[in-house]
Amino acid sequence: MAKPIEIGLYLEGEDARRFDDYINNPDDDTKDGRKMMSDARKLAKKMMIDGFE
Amino acid sequence: MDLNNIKKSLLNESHLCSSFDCGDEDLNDFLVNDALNNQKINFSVTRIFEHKNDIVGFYSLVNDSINKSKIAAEDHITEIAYNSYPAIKIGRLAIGRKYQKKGYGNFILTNSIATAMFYSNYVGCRMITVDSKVDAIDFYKKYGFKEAHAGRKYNAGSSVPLYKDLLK
Repeated sequence: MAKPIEIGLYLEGEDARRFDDYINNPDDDTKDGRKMMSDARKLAKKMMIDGFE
Repeated sequence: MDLNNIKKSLLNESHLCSSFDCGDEDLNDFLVNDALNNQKINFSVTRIFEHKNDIVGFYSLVNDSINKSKIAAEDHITEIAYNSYPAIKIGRLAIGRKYQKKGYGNFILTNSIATAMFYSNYVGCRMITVDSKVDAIDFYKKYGFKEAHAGRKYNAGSSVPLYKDLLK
């Protein structure tokens, strides 16, 4: 058996603060990340119209 | 890379999983021995990408959450006062050896994020999370994923949690 998938991520201290900074900064993404999210949004919209394959 | 000839489908008994090799034994083992059973018990759902019946890669999704400890108000101003965020986790994602470094990783990751976005129209889901293999961390960081535990050292074979905001 492969290593099981673990569910639930717990963030404390500095990790929690970094998460807050990230969530509150809409511009915190990479160029490739922005392109991927844009492509994913188009694909998700297509799924809404055509149905999920 | 010919994405027009890539067929997507949910994992089922007809897929030839035993021939899949991504170079990581744990990921191969997951697809061959665990993925279908996980799907049958509604734990994770695996989507297969094939080219002429050859498995290019796959991803497995599961519901997840990010829970953070409270931060003192004077430390920080949070726009949203939630301490838990609903998420979808990419529990596993792998690309077959012969398809690596050809853009299929980007294609399959984009598809997994699109699936999370699609479902976020029906069920609240703000984040996408992933447990990355150590040697794949840079792949996810390239696409803006953030390491959950900054500065932590991981051994080879460890899983490294990362997250990304679906609203970015």
